[in-house]
Amino acid sequence: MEAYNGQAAPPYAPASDYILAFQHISKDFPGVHALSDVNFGIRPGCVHVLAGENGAGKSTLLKVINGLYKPTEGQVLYAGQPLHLSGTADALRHGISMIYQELNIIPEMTVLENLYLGHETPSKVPPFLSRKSMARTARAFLAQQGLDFDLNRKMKDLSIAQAQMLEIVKAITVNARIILMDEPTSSLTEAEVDFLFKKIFELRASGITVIYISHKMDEIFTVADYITVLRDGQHINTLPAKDTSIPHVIEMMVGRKMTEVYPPKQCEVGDVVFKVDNFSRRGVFHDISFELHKGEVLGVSGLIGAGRSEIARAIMAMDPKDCGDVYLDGKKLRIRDVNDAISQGIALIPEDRRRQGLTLILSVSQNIGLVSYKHIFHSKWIKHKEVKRLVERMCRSLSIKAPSADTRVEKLSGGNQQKTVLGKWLSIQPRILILDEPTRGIDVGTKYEIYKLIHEMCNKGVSILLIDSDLEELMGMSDRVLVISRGTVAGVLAKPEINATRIMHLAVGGTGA
Amino acid sequence: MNTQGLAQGNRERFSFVKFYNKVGIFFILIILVVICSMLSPVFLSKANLMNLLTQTAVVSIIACGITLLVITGNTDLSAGSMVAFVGCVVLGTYKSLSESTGLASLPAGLLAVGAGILLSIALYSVASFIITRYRAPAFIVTLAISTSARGLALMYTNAKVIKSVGKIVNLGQGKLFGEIPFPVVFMVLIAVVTWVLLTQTRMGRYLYAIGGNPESAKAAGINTNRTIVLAYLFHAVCVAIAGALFMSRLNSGQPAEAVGLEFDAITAAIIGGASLAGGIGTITGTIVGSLIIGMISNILTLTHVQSYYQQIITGLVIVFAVVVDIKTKGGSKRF
Repeated sequence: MEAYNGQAAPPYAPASDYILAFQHISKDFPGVHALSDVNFGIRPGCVHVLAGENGAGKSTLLKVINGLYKPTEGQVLYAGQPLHLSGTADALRHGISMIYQELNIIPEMTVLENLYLGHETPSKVPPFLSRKSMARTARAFLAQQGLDFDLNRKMKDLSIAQAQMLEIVKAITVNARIILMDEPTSSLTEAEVDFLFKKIFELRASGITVIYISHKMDEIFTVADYITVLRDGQHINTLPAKDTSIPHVIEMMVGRKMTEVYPPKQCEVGDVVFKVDNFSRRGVFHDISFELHKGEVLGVSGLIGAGRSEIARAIMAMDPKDCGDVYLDGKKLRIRDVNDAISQGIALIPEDRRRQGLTLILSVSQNIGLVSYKHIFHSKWIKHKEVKRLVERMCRSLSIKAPSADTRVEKLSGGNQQKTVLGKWLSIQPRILILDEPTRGIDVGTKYEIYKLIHEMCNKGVSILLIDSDLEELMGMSDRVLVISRGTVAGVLAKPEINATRIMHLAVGGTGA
Repeated sequence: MNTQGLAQGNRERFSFVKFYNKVGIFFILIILVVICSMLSPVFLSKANLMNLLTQTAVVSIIACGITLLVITGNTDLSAGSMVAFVGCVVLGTYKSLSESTGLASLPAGLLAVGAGILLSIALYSVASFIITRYRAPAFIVTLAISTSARGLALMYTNAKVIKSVGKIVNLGQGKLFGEIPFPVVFMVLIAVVTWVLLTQTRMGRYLYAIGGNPESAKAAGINTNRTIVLAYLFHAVCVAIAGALFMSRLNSGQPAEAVGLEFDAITAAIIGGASLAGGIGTITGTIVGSLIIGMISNILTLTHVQSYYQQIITGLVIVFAVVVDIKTKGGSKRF
């Protein structure tokens, strides 16, 4: 990432030369002021980062620029002219293009069809399309961007990262003047992130403005020329990136001083309680063995696709495995399905909370209660009072912010949603807790609460397996780090040896040296 | 972030969606009662109300089962044909039992209904096995079952109406304490049982969880396939009882009858607030939805509207219900 610092940002334009200026922008939703009286400007040819906690209004602001939302009050000036958009297609005509956090691709169509969706090249006989000419230009264009895709492959066969690369390339094809990116790196590997950043700097060099949302501080400071911090829908500050620092930005985001990023851990690590022995699944992971001590946080590192989540799911018997045993307190466990794992006190907080962790249309209380009916109350009948008490206790101890326990989970912020998942699984008082990306897409304040919670659990003697792609966080939280590379254990690092280069070295398949 | 304060402090604008989700369905029922009583002086008479309840009983009973299915994100398009098939079998069994063996009417009736329930369970076991094992879309599988069940009904009866069925007619036309028709008694019983199942049992919670997000339900240790099969089996019992009531009320086994009952039942569930996308639905809502449909056809009959207009209006009500479903709950078009 060092390499980019050499490339100087273009000289800052005078204030009158904003390509986008927000004047008293407010956006209300029933019950929430998503944006209130936001005023600032974005200079052309710069990378402008929007920072803020979840619910701060960053995505709402992007959607205002993109024509998805109309501001309740105020106006946006685009190159000095008031901008009135009828929708995203209109935005695209104005040269404003957006790369979505969730990809908008059509899985069953080919790469080529997806690339040209909505602006296909007609053949000489109009209703038909000229596949040949589209393929030719697409191939040339991809080659020029340093990408090599089989254009006839179906989109669903591409990895998320590849699909995302294609999205970015697609945004460039439409001759955009402004490109909006909402957490584009959330599912990319380091190398792909580097590629993306290279693209971003190329875009900037050709005079295109990039507006970028990310939760990752190191990323923000790598790409940003300007940083705007939003908090609770209000504009806090806009600063040149060189005039500020990570702690300062975090302080503005949370509205208080962050003295420490990771809370100190007090508890001592005890004896081995949990052992995974010789886990294998053909083509996914091979001969995975590790031990987990009482009160320990064992970090699991590895590149995306190394098989970390699959191993976790295999422990829970959610995914199949070919062989391998699990021991708790030296006794071999027989885990045939998730219920067996749960009743042995093993819980998994899954990686994707919206897909696997929660039922969004059900209430906080129904989500938290879901495993309790069988595993705490052991009854085919609902014990309404006991469930209510349990849910209240979990909401209190995790400080879940919701209008009531009957509020649908989909109405909560990402942080509170994640706390709801935690509440569901902590309610069964697990002995072994597997956390798969527990802080992904969560604001800084809630992250800190989750760190503290992890330590609290350790103090109670719970052993934690922490799968985490955020290396910084992984190193800050783990007692030991298990590195998985291409489905095998590449190494285990104890506290004094944990550092980023060692981990990355092992993760990419280097020897343990 | 003080979301609590924000949510309360904000002025609420009138929103049809919110209003409908809260009280809509009961409000509409009350308005309908008022309108109907103004349109026809007979509407509020005891005789007509009992008649109305009896007419809606069969659909309500099916709707109870279908509500469970809709909550899990499944459906059943075979209920009408199954009512015809099972109903004919119940009456046929009763007839042959009482004629050939001379069994008394009560044991013969119990045996006949029992046979119907077993038959229904067997067929729905097949359907739910295919749906869960092969992840086949429920509407296609049950549509296929519907076609077969109608054929089975015609085969069983030789495409003739089963006549002079004897005392089993009391099941459909008799009254408890000489006051409440048996179909209404069964409707109330099944509604209560379904309500208990949905709100008081673990399985009820699991049904909502499965419909809301099958993946997270699996992650919580719920055997989704087994739960869906159980929902179909419960529905099978509802359909069998509905079939026995329907045919005994007609005092004959009519294999070509009961067409489209499943749509009335699904419409009732949707009007009552269930979402076709799964995860949402209540029994009280479904029963009210069923009463609304019954009242519309009742008042149209009372005011001498011709039957084809009735069909047109029922069709419009279904379209309206689906649009309301999508508008208020973002349900997908799963049909």
